[in-house]
Amino acid sequence: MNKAMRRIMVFCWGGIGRAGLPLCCLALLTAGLTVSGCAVQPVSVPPRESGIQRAALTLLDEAEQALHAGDALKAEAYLERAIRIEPQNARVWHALARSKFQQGQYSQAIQMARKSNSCLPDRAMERNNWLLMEQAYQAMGDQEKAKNAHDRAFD
Amino acid sequence: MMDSEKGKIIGMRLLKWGAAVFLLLVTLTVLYAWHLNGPLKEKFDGRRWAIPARVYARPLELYPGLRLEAGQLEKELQLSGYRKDDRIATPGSYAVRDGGIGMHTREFDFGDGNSPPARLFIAFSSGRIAAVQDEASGGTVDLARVDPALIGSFLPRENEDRLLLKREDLPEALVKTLVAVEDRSFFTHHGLDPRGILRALWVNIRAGSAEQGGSTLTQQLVKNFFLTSERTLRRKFNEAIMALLLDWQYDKDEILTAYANEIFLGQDGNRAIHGFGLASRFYFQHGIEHLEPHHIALLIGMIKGPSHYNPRRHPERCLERRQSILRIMLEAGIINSEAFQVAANAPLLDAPANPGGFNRFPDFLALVRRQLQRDYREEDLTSTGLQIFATLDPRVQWAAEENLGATLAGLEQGRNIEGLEGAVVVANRSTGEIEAVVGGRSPRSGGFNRALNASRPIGSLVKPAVYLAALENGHILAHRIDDAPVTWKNQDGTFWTPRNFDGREHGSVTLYEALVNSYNLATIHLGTAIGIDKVIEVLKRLGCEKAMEPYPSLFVGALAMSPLEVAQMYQTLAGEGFYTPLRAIHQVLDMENRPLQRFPLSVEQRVESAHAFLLNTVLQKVVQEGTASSLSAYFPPSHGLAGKTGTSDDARDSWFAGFSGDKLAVVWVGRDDNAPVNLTGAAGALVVWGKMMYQLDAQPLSLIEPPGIEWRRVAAGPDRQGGGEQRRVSLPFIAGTAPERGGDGPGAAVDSARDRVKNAIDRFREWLQ
Repeated sequence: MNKAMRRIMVFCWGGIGRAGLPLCCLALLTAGLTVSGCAVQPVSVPPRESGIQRAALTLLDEAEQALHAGDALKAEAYLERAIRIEPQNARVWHALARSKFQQGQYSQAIQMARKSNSCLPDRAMERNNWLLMEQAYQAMGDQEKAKNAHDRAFD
Repeated sequence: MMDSEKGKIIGMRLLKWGAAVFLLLVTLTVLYAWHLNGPLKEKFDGRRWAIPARVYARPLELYPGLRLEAGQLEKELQLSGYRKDDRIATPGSYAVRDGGIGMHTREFDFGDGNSPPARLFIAFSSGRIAAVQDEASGGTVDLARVDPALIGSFLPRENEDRLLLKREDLPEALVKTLVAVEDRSFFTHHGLDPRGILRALWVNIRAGSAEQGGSTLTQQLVKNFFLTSERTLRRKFNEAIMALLLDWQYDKDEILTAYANEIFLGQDGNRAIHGFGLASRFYFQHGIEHLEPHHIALLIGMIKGPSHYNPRRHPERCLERRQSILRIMLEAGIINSEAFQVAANAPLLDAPANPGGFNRFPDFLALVRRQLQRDYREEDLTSTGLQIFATLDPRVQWAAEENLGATLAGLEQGRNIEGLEGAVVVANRSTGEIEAVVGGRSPRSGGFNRALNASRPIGSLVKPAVYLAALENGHILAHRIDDAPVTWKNQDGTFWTPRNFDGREHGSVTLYEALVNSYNLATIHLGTAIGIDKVIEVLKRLGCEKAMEPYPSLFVGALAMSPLEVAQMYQTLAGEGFYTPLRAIHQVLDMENRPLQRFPLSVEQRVESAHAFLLNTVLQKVVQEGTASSLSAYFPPSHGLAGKTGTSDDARDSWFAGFSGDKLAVVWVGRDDNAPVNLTGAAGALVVWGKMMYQLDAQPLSLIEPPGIEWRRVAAGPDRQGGGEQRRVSLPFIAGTAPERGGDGPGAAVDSARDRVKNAIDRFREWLQ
């Protein structure tokens, strides 16, 4: 997810807190405009933030490779480092949820997915998290919660 | 003739007897040798040394954008035992140049793969790393990891410490010099060297003093391994037999390697430095592979008397000895005359004494040990060479130590108090990794560790749990409660009449106001209305593992906890409802770098995001306008820090627990004898917290607002009858629970509102599932 967009959204959430509903609407509107703007023209990102993001991304890439290779423990080590660098990255927490799932630690997988969902909003990740939770609940034999998670993924 | 025959017979008899006695002696000697050989082989074939567990700080990760200044990096590198060397020729060296830092990192096995050594240049700009360049390739690096500082080891009883070396680790020049100085015929003799003994005798007689020992390296090894230093004939005899046995059964390289690991080379406090590997680190701050001739000469020279020739305490003696060893090296052809000149002119120690991080942080180590004792026996810790990767962040630890000490001294002076003590725990807000533990004002002493072991009443730090229980049970922040007097009859017939800190009653106040201003009476009324078991249940969910008595005094903090326990509880709030076990260790590797145990990050949502958000918003207001508003001396209100002050009865304990975007920190200030210190949480602990977090450049906190939150401006000013205007504050509510516009004044229909709130919360829960 685009960092600039995220910052704007942080601003929006903060804005809700400080100025109430009207400002919130305005902020959302601005965010919407910016998002559509992003699609056309890439926003130049200040280098210091992109550096942090790149560092976390490097680790996330390594972790994804480890996950593909079935080495969930190795992935976990990379992801914990990434969280230290960028703690609010929903993608990193999601990958951690997958590594827990791969290790058969289903309830930790669910918790990590929840944590990912509680990060700065990232709709795509949210769906992935609910789908992963669905699988985890299924693996645990809880059909009802699995169904619930499935519905949440597509609502 | 008779005489000669008699003589013959006597001679024969003597011969026979002699032969018998000789045979007996040989048999006895062989038996005795066999008796000695058992332990010898056992020692030599088995694990020869107890290798203490080593504890490392967290490795420093360098990447563009990281908030770090050149000076801070330099301090960290010194802690890791890096030498200042403008050429950064060898791993473990650094140079300050061009406004940045050049560094040559060491190879290090982190358990997830080996990091090879690298020559890096770190550029800085406005308090951050601007770029990390790889000097070999000339390109930039996204992320570099520096080998971590060794912060301590768990020494066995004998306090011996060593870094194990293999034969191939030993530089040839070192081996040759060792042999030339200590035992010239080492490679040809059989464990004993009669000529060497005679030569030593001759030299000693000529010099009139014990200049040379005649012992072979093998004998010295045997002596160090098995025998005391008493000088008896029997010991000499044993030593000789065991040396022969050793030489007979093991090859020279094995004996040499054992010697190189065993030899005693000095003392670091109560830690005994053994072996060339550790000695090289200890005296020169680099690995044995980088020893130059003058280093080798110094170490070999020290064998004769490690304290007598200590380069730090007796530099002149040591230098004289080193020069004489260098001459031997020249004579033996180990170095040429050019190298001799260079070495002879080299300083004794190239780097100034760098204490490194060894056992600098005993309070943190105590926590590491506590976490390990659950899974390991004491002898595992002191003998099997475990490598422990701890979570300590040296920068945070330093800041915590400095600010606690300085602030307490300032408070004592300014307020004429004596005997103040304190404790600090700092953790990473997102991962629960403990970054610093300070157990008192003398953090080097390793004395009473208040952070872990001082259990003190937490006062108002308990209140967030009461308000969280209220929010979970149908209350909203705009509900009003009575801040009115209350008297409680204790079981023993006495009465408990709690008061507010300011001694006044504030009438009908909102939940929000009562928590921001930490009103005791309102909190007791609220807690009683919800029910104490619900509050206890919330406390447990937050991570409090204490046994709790169901008395209303609990609502205002009649609950004793250690700073570490408080940190665990507040971590759940800092984690926005996600409980994360605090950890002091990442992982444990065995001596061969194989992972033994990981302590992974784990999370568990224990408070719904919405409730956590409401509560944390109020904890931010505590800092912006409530009991912790004096934090504005260190941070602007826009920083959004969240926290809570705590003061126990008669101001015996001063607490502050709070979090920023990146860190959670808990501070306690009080006296060991539990006497009143007349400090509120704000006047004592908060000051330490503020100064420390300021120094650490704590990040702004922006809470993540979960979906389904509405904001309303409500009257939250003091509801003094007939007096003044209502102050209006913007507060968050779970959608559907916000008070009707205009209907939030005094006397609002609380009951029907509570029903509405309950319904809305139920809907919210359903939606969450």
